[in-house]
Amino acid sequence: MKESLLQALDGLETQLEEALAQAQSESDLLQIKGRFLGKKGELAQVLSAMGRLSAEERPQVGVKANQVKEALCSRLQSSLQGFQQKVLDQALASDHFDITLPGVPVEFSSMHPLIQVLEEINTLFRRLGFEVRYGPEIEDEYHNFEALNIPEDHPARDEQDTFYLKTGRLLRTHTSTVQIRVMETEKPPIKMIAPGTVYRSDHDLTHSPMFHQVEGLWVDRGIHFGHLKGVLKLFVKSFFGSETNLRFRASYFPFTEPSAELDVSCVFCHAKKSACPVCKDTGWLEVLGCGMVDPNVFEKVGLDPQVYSGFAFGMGVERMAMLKLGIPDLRLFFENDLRFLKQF
Amino acid sequence: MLISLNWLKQFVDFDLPSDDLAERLSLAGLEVEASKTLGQGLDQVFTATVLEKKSHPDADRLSLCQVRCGQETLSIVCGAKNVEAGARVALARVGAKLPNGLKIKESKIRGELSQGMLASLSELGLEEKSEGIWILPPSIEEGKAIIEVLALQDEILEVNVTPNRGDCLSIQGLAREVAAILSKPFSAPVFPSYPPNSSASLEIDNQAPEICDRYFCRVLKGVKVGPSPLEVQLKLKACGLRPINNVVDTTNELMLETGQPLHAFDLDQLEGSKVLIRFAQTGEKLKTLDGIERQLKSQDLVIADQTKALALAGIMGGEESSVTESTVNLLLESAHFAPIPIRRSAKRLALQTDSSYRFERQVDPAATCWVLEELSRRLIERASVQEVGPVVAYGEAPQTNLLSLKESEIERYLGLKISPKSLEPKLKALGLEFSLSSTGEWQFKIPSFRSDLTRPIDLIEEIARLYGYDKIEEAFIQLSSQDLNLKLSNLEKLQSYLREQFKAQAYDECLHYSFCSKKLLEAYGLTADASAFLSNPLSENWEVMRPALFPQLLGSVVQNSRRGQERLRLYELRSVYGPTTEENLHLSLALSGPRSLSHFREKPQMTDLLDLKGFLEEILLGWLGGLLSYGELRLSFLHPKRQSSLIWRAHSGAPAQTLGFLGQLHPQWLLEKNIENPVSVAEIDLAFLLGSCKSKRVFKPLSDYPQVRRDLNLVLDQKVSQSEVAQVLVKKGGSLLQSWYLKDLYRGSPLQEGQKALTYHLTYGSDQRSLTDEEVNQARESLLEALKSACGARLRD
Ligand SMILES: [Zn+2]
Repeated sequence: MKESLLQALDGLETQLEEALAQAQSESDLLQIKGRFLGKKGELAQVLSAMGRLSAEERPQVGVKANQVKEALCSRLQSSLQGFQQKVLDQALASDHFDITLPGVPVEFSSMHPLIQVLEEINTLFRRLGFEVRYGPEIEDEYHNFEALNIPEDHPARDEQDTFYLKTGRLLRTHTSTVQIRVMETEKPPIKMIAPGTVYRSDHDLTHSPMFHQVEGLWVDRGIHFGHLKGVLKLFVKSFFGSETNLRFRASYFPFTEPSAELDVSCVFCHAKKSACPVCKDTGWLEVLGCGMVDPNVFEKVGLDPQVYSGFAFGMGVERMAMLKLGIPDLRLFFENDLRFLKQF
Repeated sequence: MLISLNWLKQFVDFDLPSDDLAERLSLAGLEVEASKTLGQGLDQVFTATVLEKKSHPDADRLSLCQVRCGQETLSIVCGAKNVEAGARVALARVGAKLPNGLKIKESKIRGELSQGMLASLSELGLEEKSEGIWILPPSIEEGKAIIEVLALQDEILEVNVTPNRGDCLSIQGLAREVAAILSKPFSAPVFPSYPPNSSASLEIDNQAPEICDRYFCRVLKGVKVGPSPLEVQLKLKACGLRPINNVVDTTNELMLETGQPLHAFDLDQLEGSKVLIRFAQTGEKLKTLDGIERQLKSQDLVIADQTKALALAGIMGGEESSVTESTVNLLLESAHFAPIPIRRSAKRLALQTDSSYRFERQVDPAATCWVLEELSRRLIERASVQEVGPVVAYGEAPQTNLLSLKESEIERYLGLKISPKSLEPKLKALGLEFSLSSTGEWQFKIPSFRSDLTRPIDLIEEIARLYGYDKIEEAFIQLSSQDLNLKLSNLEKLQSYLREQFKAQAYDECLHYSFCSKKLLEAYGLTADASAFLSNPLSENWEVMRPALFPQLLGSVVQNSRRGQERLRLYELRSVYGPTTEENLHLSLALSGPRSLSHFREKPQMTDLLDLKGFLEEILLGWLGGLLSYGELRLSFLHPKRQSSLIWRAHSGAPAQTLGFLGQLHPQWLLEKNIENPVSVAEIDLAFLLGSCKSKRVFKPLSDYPQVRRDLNLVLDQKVSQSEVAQVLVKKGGSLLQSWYLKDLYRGSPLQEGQKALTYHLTYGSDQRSLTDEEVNQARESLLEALKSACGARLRD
């Protein structure tokens, strides 16, 4: 009995080889697997006969049966892998993918170029420790003019043609109004910028009735003109590039004194001064106005000019964007032509 | 203001090239905006005499001239009407290249030989526009290079004088600046008084001493009015003024030179023996020099005689009393007026003149007197005056103001240790005398022409710009423990959150003007509050502050669609105005066209309202958390079945907050705008979002246990909305239901008419354990029961 079982076990491997030699496909293989390892398969039959063996013989046959089972399994597995490999090889051989076909297009969009430039300006000043503050666009005479030392009947009002609402309120002509609103309610140190929309009733090739400004203000004890120069130099070099030169020209604004215009070396012709339509061969571009806060402004907001000093500056975002992105026409910013918007 | 460098050099000695001077002036606060060179291209232009003038045989408008230039006589064809035999003219000879680019060649004009050209002033670059050729005075020698005879070579700078520097609206004022910039001495010319030889005079009756604090006048009799000397005419032209006659030109010349506006009246047009300075009567009329009859108001100041107004004080003279060729007796006026009343009248009458411009920006009150003396002297020289009356004066000479300045203040503002002493030559050139007082402060004497210097800071500015802004050293402050607020505000966070989401979905940001037309609003059923209208709009298109963003955004949808753009995803994130709050941040978005870009493998699918809705929900709930629901809405421009208001609640049962609306445009709208694809639009009021950001995001542990997924296939009545089912899922789904989504919506056979099938995909799970099949089935069963009773749902076989 024991011998015949051992013999049968020995024969299984050879039988399997024979069966495998006939196999054509993965499904043939499954059939063969069932025949040898299934519940009523060859191996199971041998094992079921083991019950009739004596207690001594059983382990001897059992060991052999396990060895044979493992051998059968691993042989079937390797054979299966062989078949799978063959199928895969065929599939790969018949794949005619063309990498030069167009990929599925993905579209990106971007923020409005003006907002991008505005955000960059905000970010640079945030790095310098300036807080971003906002204020109303619909304002009153006091915050837009009087508190900024521009009394009624002052010739400086000629440069700021103002839109009025039927209520008598006005559309702010600059974001300098925000520095007044902040200084009215907060004590120094004040270190802020005020980005925002402003309006002037002026419309031609170089003027838009609505445009954007960033105003800046730093007030504390001991702030002087050197700090103004330092902050703006860091800003300009970061914004336009470290090779940019800058110069401060004396100027006049009612709310600062001393006042200055800041020019940067022309970013188009790099100050070569030959047939440059942007700087008109001066080599310089005017980018912002600045100055030390006028003591009259401090008095208006209730800060003591004997104790505090500070500087303010203001720039036009459209101009900065035009210079930075090479945009020739102001009107493009507000036409919302996708061919324009998608460029940035 | 235009300045001639030749003229400037009469007051300050310098030989800097004009470009360098322009840059130095600009840096010192007198921005040079343009410059031009006079006399270029005039080397082949000579003075000549017309000997003979005949008409051209073949052309009515042309004449044939024989022109003598020294030894030679040339034939010239000329088209100007004012050419006459005997006239002294400017001849551009063959080979000349004029400033306007014209090259003179020998040519035949309609068959007649022309050996040069008789030039006009504009062709020589000496004035903007000319009528006819330039007729020179006979006193100019013939046959000479014109550039030498008339000293035409000059540089003209256009200087932008800031409103605080009225003193620089004159050659003398700018000469002081140039002297200061170059550290050269400047001494103001001394104009001696001219003694009268007659007692002819008028009395001054000043009824507005608060506006006119100084008034000087003088009578000149037996004047010969005629053209000014040529060099005076050329000087005026170079500075942008048109020569009129010797009297008017001299007042203008002195105004440009000294900054003091002057006026000359025809004395014989005055009635009575008084000159009055008074306010106009309401309704009083005055025809000004420009020929326009002005309606005056009681705030306008006039110069008048006993019976009538003669001039708008400080602004413009009257036509009736103006000096003409027939004038023989003059009343000269030199006065000082306060800036504000002059500005108000000039603005109201829209009449800004060289005179009003200067008075608005402050004229030197000390100049009133001596400029009148110089005016008399020059007129006596140029207009053969016979009688000179005495100067009649009203008002006192101004007092000298003193101002003290501490060096420590200079340092506090400029970060610069500097003594005024080190800038003494420059400060002196500006007329600023100073000395050290016993208290250690610098005492400055402020000259009367510098009305802008009233506070120590004004002197600090002078010191800073004379020292040179470029030489002030940059300074940096390290951040200290100062309590600066570097936190991002909610507004900054919300804006960048929204822009990130829009960028991720390839929406492009638009910017429209904050104002639009009333008509546009009405087209979308909007009415703007009366208070939102501008009182001075630039045009009807920009008359009202917009109460919503979407009308203009839809305008950009239409515009871009017309330009052939099909895939449109636009948004705007800006303020709107009124009616309940003055200003409020809104968000509007519009969507149209294919969901994806075209690709050969996929058939493009058109977006519709559900695309917009899905994205909008995601961004709103991502910021707010909570729940959204949809309310009734009836906007006529939207598709009647595809529009809704958007309502937010913190949780079910919490108070409702309307955030805005969304909808698909009415098919009629699409037809009108000629747009094929559906267009969806939404507008959200962000005020609520600004105030309520979802509570801080806190980390939740990731579950280690597997999730169990089940489909729930329901049959429902068509009338039951998806949200009714969804609400049951939320309320009765049980604690194990972690998420679900609508997998399929089906209508049609084998379902009955009026029925629909919804398939939900449910995901069950627990953070604490693996779920058994039984508890999942149980949860699903009790959910199904709830759906049966709440929505009449049954399980689909
Ligand atoms: Zn350039």
